Amino acid sequence: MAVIWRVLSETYVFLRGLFRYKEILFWVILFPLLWYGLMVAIWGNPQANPVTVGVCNTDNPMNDTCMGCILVDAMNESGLFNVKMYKTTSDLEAAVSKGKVSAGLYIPSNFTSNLLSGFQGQVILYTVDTNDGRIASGYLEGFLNGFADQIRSQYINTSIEYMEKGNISIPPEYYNYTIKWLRLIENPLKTTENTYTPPLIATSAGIKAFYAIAMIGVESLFVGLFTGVSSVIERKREGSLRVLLSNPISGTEILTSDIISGMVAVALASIAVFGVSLAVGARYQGLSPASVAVISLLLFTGTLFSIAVGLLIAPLARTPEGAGILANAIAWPVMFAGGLVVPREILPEWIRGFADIWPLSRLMEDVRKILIYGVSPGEALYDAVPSIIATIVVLALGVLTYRKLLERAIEA
Amino acid sequence: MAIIEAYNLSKRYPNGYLAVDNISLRVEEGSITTLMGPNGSGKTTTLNMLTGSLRPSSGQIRICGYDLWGDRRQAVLARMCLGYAPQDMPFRGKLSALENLIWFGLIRGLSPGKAKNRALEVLDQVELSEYAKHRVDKLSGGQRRRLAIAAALVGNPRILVLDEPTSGLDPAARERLWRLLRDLSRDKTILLSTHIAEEAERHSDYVYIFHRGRIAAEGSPRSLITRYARKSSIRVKLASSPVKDLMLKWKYYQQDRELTIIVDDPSSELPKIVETLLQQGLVLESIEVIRPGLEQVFLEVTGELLHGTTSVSEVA
Repeated sequence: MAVIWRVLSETYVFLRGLFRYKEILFWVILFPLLWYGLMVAIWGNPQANPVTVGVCNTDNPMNDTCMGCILVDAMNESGLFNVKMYKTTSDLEAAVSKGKVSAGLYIPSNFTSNLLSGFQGQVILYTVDTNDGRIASGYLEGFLNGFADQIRSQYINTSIEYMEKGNISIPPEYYNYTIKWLRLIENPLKTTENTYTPPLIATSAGIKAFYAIAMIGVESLFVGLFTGVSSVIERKREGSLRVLLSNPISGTEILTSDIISGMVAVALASIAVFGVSLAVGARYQGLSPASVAVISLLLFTGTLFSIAVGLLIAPLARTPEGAGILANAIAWPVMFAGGLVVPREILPEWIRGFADIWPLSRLMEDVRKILIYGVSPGEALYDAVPSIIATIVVLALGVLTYRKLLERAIEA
Repeated sequence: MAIIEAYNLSKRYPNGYLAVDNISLRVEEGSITTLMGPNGSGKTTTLNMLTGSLRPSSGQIRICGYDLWGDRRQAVLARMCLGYAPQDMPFRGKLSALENLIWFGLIRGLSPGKAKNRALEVLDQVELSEYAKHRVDKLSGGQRRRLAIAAALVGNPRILVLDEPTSGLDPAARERLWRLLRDLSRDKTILLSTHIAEEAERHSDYVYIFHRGRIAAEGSPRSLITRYARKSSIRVKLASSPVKDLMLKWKYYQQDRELTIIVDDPSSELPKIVETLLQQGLVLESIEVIRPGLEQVFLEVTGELLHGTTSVSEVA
């Protein structure tokens, strides 16, 4: 029983100090919540943002009709574009080439007169071969096709109207066929839409859930690394190592007390992040006692892996400050390249390989599988087996390193 | 009966520095034993080895009969037997005195309930009950020292080991702390270190004099004084350092502007000393007659002043 109290001693101090030491409160509660707020604010809404396009409209109205103006008004009202107007084509070209707009559209002066006189209306599209440029020109082309459909429909309706009034004479035996033919030209494809509920991840609630899990992963990463890397050196600096060693607490018990304290920190951060995520509209699925148990195990293993990595790199640090730099130097790249914050699907191929093998990333992916994709806890657990084995191996090496470091501290 | 036994203890640090050189010591149960010596003489290194936080390079240590550096069982039993308060106890400043003591209780393996009860008991023992809920970083230096002793007492050890417990305290706080240690010594063995000879002399049952990693002398304060320091000394502080060698017929030690002159009879020899110094053109700042004590013992056995920081020239 005494062993239990000894290994809980650090947790006692941690919990007692949580609200008194601002730095602890920051790292455990505020840090993940701030990041979560930031991520949700940036990426939390799945709707596409309008693309910025430049337009130079020199169209001359004809009979009070300005087709170019109608086109620009429609672009503005669509919500797809943030339209910037330019007076001359050279201004428009300069804006496109300098990246002020993602694409450009020039509407010449005879646009309306051509369309109303039975000629083809012409526009010039300026595109840039960048990601943004391709997206913008894709939007524009789609929009112009829709605009052309409207004009086509208008022409066909006017033609049919003339035919019905007898202004255009069609032999009776061809009349119905001609109408049918014109309607086909107007709308050659009949599309029937079946709308399904989108998968959770494609919704705002799912994205908020994604980032909540991301932040818990980040907290596991940071808490774990800092716990592992500073376990000996920090105590050596503050003098508590000597006091601990003069007490009947073993090195293993000291390490266990740190691990438990780290786990409690991650658990508190998880509760805070899940709570806030639910409050801002995140939705989770597959919640059951079994899934909660498996998720807890996965989070525990993930934190344990980070602690083990921290223990492995601890001998490289000579001071607590150095330990902090080391932990940060690993944590920040892993946070982004490890697929914790950035979805692995949008990571470049060569970095994705890292996210695929880094156990913490995989374990957090398994948590997502349960909570966002509705995978069964058993399936997720089966998927996590390689990560659990990797964690055990790295932890064993970490404990050996820790023992050596502690031995070194006892020697000097 | 010896409750602490250390034989042929040495400590050479990985950088090659020999901090403790083949010392042996015994601490009798129920005694107040003091390791006395200047800074850097090996006292703290010895205490760290005796409390199990620093591995000796060689030698053996038995605490309450258990091998401190032996197998896990022996090591645990030995450590259960002692409570250690280093010079700066690593308290959590923003936690209360009581919370800090509960933490130390948990480290000793007490349940939270027992740790709390024990913490309240020891707070009462060190007269800090009214500060139980005060944050440690708001306590005075003397209160923190007493709290450190309380922390060492939480596990109810048979031996209290205290590193420089009175260092940096004002005389009143120092006196109060010694009163506490005297009370505690009724049922605890106390091993402490100090560089203050007067304290070691007044309060210790047994003293080990440390000098450059070795034990230069040992014994009860009275026996040490009888053996090594029957003569008194006169300490003269000069207004400025003498520019040439002094011509004195007494044995004296000099360190910067301070002269320590060994005399048989201070009352008859003081006027002659003053006259001689004045004749040599020296301006005197203060004169102090020091009765035979451990400071003189240290001087006699090491040839150095206890608080000396520079080398001392001896002229017979």
